[in-house]
Parts: sequence; structure tokens; C-alpha cells
Amino acid sequence: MPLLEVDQLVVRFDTPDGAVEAVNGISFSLEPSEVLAIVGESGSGKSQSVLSIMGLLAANGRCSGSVRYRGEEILNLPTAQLNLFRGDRISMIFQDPMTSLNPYLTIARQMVEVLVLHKGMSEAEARRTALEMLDAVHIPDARGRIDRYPHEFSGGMRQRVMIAIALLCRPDLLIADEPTTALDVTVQAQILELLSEIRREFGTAIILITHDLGVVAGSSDRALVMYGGQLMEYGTLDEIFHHSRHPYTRGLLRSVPRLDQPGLRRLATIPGNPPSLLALPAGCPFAARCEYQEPRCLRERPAAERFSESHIKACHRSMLP
Amino acid sequence: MLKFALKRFLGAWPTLLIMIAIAFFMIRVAPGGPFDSERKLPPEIEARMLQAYHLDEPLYQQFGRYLAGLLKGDFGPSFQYKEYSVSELVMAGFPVSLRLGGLAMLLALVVGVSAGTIAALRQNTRTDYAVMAVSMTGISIPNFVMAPLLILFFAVFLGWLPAGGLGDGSAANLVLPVISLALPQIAYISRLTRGSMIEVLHSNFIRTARAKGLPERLVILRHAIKPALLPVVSYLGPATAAIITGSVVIEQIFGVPGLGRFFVQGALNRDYTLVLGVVIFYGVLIIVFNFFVDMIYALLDPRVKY
Amino acid sequence: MAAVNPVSSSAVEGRSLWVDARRRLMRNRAAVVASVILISMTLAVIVGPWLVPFDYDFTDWSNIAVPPDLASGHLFGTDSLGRDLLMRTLYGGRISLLVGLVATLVSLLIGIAYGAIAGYVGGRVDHLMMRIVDILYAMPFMFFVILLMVLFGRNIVLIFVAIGAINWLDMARIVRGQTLSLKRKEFIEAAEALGTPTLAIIRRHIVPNLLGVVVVYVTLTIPQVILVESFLSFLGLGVQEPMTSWGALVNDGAQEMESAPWLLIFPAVFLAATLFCFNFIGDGLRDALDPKDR
Repeated sequence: MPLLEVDQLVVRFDTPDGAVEAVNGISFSLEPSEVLAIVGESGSGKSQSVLSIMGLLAANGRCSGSVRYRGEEILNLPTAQLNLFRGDRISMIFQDPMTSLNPYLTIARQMVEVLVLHKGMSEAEARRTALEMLDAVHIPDARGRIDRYPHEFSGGMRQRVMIAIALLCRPDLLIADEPTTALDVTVQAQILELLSEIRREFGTAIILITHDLGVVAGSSDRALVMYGGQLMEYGTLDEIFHHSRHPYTRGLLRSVPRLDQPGLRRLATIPGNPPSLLALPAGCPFAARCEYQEPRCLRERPAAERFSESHIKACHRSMLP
Repeated sequence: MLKFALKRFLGAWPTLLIMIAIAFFMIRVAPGGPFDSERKLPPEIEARMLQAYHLDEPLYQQFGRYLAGLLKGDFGPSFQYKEYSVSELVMAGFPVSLRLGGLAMLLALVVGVSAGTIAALRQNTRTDYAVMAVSMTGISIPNFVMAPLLILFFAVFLGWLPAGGLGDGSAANLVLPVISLALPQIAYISRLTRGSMIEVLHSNFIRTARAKGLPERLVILRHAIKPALLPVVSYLGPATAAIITGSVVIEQIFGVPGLGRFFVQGALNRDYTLVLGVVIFYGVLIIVFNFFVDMIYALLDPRVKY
Repeated sequence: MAAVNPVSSSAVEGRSLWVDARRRLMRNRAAVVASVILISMTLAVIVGPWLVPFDYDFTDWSNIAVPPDLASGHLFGTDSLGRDLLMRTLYGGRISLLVGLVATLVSLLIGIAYGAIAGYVGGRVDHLMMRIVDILYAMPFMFFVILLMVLFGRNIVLIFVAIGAINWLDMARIVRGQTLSLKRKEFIEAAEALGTPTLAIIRRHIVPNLLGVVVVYVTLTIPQVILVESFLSFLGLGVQEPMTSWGALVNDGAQEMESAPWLLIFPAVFLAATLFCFNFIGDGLRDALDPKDR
């Protein structure tokens, strides 16, 4: 049985300017200890789709569809029931480690509370476990720093603390929402390395949200490419990187800077901007920027189409040159 | 922490000195002496009186003398109530004012913070709108309008509560003055709490707390309440000043023999030393209070640099 | 950026800050209603005194302390000196609104100048100027104003100046903060690079950009000022008889509320309604100009 099955997930926000559709019918599934990358530009709906899974949408957000964790429906559960999973079986870390930790509580308190809540540990026991976890995420001198406040840590260290908190209950699934975006490049690499280590050692499945295909390459098994709230392409890493069937994915791949190719090459960009979510076009959301645009791309939305066991794309063009 | 406290403590002195100086010179520069209003005194007696009160000395010398007196807790004699010193009058009025103001502040904090929190947790519901409407009323109806209206309704119309005075000192006499004094502050504090609570509830670390699976009660009590109350703590200083100012009219309306009433009487009677004494006393009170508020804030927020 | 998406660009274009703000404000029903009431009230206060057949200090000996009555022509009744309350309420409104407006203007001018200079010049000057503001903040201002009124007599110009002078501190702080953040923006740096003189930059670039904050501040300061004036008048330290203001009328009314409650209720309603309206409009403007999730 898959660990997580997401089926036709839709996320809408009621705004004064009308309903905004942030996610429009995304489906994917995740096996235990698998790493799935969800890739897209800002506003593509990648973050909102995972926030809806965690029940963390803003107050005006509504979601529908189905999300099953080990076969059990968890989408739109009441908070009290959701809290049995959150932080215990499914954990999440966020983009901005500078503001994601409570600045008014010590690291110890923010860690201990999770274990006391989900594992029923005593304070002392929880503190020991927390220290072990801080060691596991390579926080130097964890014993000396566990009673410090978040502002006394650097950005990278704070993200490590966030990861440690997320892993305290040994969850089956860790959702990482752009965990490296706010960090320096060198620190980024360290955090990604830490995530792969976690998967190796704890067997945690990971959903990695990112806008950077370069991040995807080194750290995931499968990738799902989103644009304008819709699924563009979904497949194994090899399928996405070497056999992509979607113009958007190809555009993204061309715009990744590469150091392994000799000579200076002008970095390709995809012309134009992502569409406004307030006024999504009737057809394919990418049509306006697509170099292979056909008349019907502007009229009808392409359906997600499966053409190998693991490879799905949503594009009217059956073949690309 | 100690260094921070010391720094703040030393920083308060110039403020204090400037305040005293402004008040002192404002009064001395004003046209008309303290004895002008009485019938014309023979020149030699007037000279003797001026001498008795050291009013014949140059200004800076008078100021120095006044400061020296202050250090000993001596505000000088009252011009009006000749048999009392200003210190005696202040000490007589202050306990009454303190009881009134303290109760009002307490009421404002308890009601304001709870109402604001409830409104924030039920944002955009009827409860929220009701709290905000009441709060808007509190802000828009000044206490000197509210107080007579309350008297008209509860004392004159319904006859439930006494209309004024301290009577036998029972609690019933304090109900209306305390409520009139507290209402605007309840309004401000509930709006402040609501606003900051909403902001905190939208912050990333609250999302983290929810992602941890904490029950909503713990999210609020452990993670949200402290940062949401910090603006309220900062507001305590201005709130004190506002309550002190408000007590001036409230004591007047209800005939409460507090410090505010002495101040108004003194001002109307040109009892300069009494007025000066009250201003300085309240100024010191506000400064001291602000000092403690700063300390509390520093204790609550680990990010404040010492 | 060769081909800009037509949908997104047109959606962005037609909605400048002010257009957007006005749309949001119009949707705020409380603010719209408050504006209508306030405008009517202002008109009534300006025009009304010409329409009422009694002078504000005219004593109607045949109608002393009468309740509101159509037959006598005293719609709001008269006070214990037989003066028409409607006329006095309208007349008092003139004074109250005028004080609110002028004193706010005074505090605005001082505050903007002070804050913009401190924020823009920065460094040690800024530090010193803000330290002064801090010290002034700790002053028991209301008492100073009362002292001023007592010592220098109750004159209306002094009220303007005194109230204006205590209200500029907030404005100075707000403006300084905004200036500091604006200063780092590109268009200011560009102007600096072009060699535009400092004062010209403050006037031409910084002040216009502060407009939003200032508008909100003004609508929220006017009621505060009206409040302070009424407070002083209530204590008998504001405008002098036979002139009047809402605060003075409330004070008069409160003296006789048991025998003649209308003397308290009419001015109190006018005063409270005005304060309500300003506060609603101020809130509406703030939400419209700074649309945080509220």
C-alpha cells in the first residue's frame, strides 16, 4: 500500500476579488521512504497543495479531493483528529527558518513539547531524546545550546533545529517546503545532504518542494512539475530529466545553470511571467509562454495523460521535436 | 539584565529633570503672581511674603532651592491651603486616586485582553464584530461623556448605585467611577490585543506549532499569547498616563477627593505650588512606571538587547 | 522579457495603490456611512447657524430651560439661560471641528518636518532628535496643557497650539520610520545619484510617498484632538462663555442632567457621533491602504 495517495486535490481561496484556484486537480502517490520532488515557480500551487494535506491552509482556503495516509482519508479532518498525525506520523519543515521557530521559547521547550504530546514522555526523557536528535542533525555542542533561543542560531542551524523537531517522533513522511530557499548556497548543500542522510538512516519518505531543478537532481526519486496550479508532468527522475515530454519541463531544464558542461553558454530563460491566479486562462496555463503553442492549447485544458507506468504529462502535443 | 536596568535607570533622570524644569519655569514665567488675586496687600507685607516664599530671589536660585526640597520629599507649602504642605495634600489625595486608578487599570487589562483575544480567535464572526463595536464605542465616547450618562442611568434612573462621593467607602461607590475610567482603556486594549493576536496567529511559528500537532489550546496559550501581549505591555505606559489624566475629570464628576481633584482646584485657584507638586508627582509616577514596563518587556522578549 | 503575458500585465496595470484603496474603502460599509454622516454634520455645523432663528448667546426669557419643543421653535430645548440648544450645539460643533482640524494641521506640519528630517539626515542628528522625542513622550502633557490654559488664560489660539504641540510626537515617529525605509528605495538613491539637493529630495520624493500614512494619521488624530479640547472645555479651561464647544456643552449639561437631561444628551450625541465617524473612517482608510489580512 502506498504511504500517501493524493487524488484530484483542489485548493481554492475565497478572496474579495473572487475565488482563486491555487491547486487544480493534482494526483500523485508516494511509497514508504521514497523522495518526491514537487517543482514549480512561485504561485504554481506547490506549497498550497502540501499545506492543505497538513490542514494548514489560511482561513479562507478550501480544499477538496482525496488524500489518504496508509489508506485512511485525512483531507479535511477535524483539527483534533489531524493532530494525531501532524508532528507524529507526518511532519513538516518550512521555507523560512528565521521565522518558523517561536522566538520567545527556548529550543528545548519547542522540542520537548512534541515528545510529551505524541509519545507521552516525561520532560527529562524528552529532553534526552531531543538532545540525541540535535546530535543527529549535526548541531555542534547540542547540550550547551538546547536552552538557547532561536535568535542565537544562524539560519542554517535553525533549519537543522526545525528538521530535528520534525524528526523527533520518527515520522513516516517529512514534508519539506523549500527548505533551502532562504539559505546560503553552501548551507543549502549541507541541508540537502542532511535530508538524504535522514532518509537513509530513518527510512523517512520525503516530499521536497522546490523551484530549483538543480535541487531535485541530487536528492529525489520522482518529480512532479506544477504550473499555474496544475500538474504538467510527473515521472521518475530519469523520465523527467532525460525523457521529458513537456515543453515547460524542458524550459525549466534549460534554465538550470550547469557546471558540468564545458564552455560558456548563455543561460536559457522561459520568456514571460506565470499567469495571474485570479484570471487563469481557459486553456493550458502555460500556453501563453509555450513555444509549441497550438490553437487548441488556448481553448481546452490538456488532461493528465499516462503514457508509461510511471510517466504522466498534461500537454496536447503528443510529440515534441 | 542588571546593566540594562542601570542604563534605563540613569536614562530616566534627564527626563525627570527636564520635566520638572518645564513645569517650574512655565509657572514662574506666567503673568501674575500667586497673591494677585487677593485684595491688594500693603507693599511691605507683600515684600515680606515674597521673601517668606523666596520669591524675591533670582529664578535659578529658586529652582535650585525647589530641587533641593524635592530631594527631601518637600514640595513646599501650599499657597491656598495655608496650614498644609503640598506633600501632605499629595499624600492625602494619592491613596484615593491610586485605588481608583489601580482598579480601573486592572479591570481594563483583564477585560481588554480577554475580549481582544476572543475576538481574534473568532475573527470575522458575530462575536468579533460585537467586541469591536463595543470597543469602538469605548474609544469614541469620552469618559467625561460616559460618566454623566452612566450616572443618569444607573444612579438617577435605576437608583442602583450612588451618584458620587466616596460615601462610607463601600465598593458600590467605586463601581461607576472605575467603570467610566476603565472603559476607554478596555476599548484600546481589546483592539490592540485583537490586532496583535491576529498578526501572531498568522505568523510562521504558529504554523509550525500547528504542524507539530499541538492542540489549538496549547498553540494559543503556549505559543501565541506571549508575543500577542507584548504590545499590550508597551501600552501600559501610555495607559497609565491616560488613566491619570482621566482620573482628573472622573474625580471631578464623581466628587472623589483624589489627587486629580486637588489638581483642578489648585489650577482654578492658582495654587502654584500645589499644581506644580501634583504635576511633578504624576510625572515621576509615569517615569517610574515606564521604567518597570521596560524591565518587564525585556524579561518577556529574549531578543531585547541589554 | 519578450512576450509579457497579456492577462497578468493588464490585471496589474489598472490597479494603482490609490485606485485599489478607494475600491476597498467603498466596500467598507461602516466607513462609507460614517463619511456620509460626517459630511452632513460638517455641512449642518457650517450652514445651520444661519438657519436657526436664535443667536447663540440670545436669551429667550419666555423659554428658560424648556425641553425640546416644536411650538416654541427650540427644537433641542433651551438651557438655564434660555439660550437655544440647537444653535449652541451647531455653534459648538464649529469650534470643536475647527479646533480638531487646525490643531491636527499644526501637529502634522511639525511632525512631518521633524520626522522627515530626522529619518532622512540620519546618523547622530537622527539619534539626538529621536532622543528628544523619547523624553517628550514621558512628559505628562495633559497637565502641561492644563497649566498653560490656567496660566495664560483661555484663548482659542493657545488651544490650537497647545494641542497641536502635544500631538506631533506620534507623527514624527511614524514619518521617521517611513522615511528610513523609503530612503533605501531605488528611486531615492537614483535622485541622490543625480545630485538633487537633500531638501528637494525630501519635498519631492519622500513627502508624497508618506501621504498614505499621513491621511490615516490625520483622520485618527482629529477625533483625539476634539477629545482633548472637549476635555479642557469640560474642566472649564477651554473656550470661554458665551462661546462654546461640544465639551463645554456636555459639561453644562452634566450639571443639570437630572432636571434637564436634554442639555447633556444632544451635545453628547453630536460629540460621540463625530468621534465615531472619524474613527470608522480612519480604520477604513488604514485597512484600505494597508490591506493586511484582517
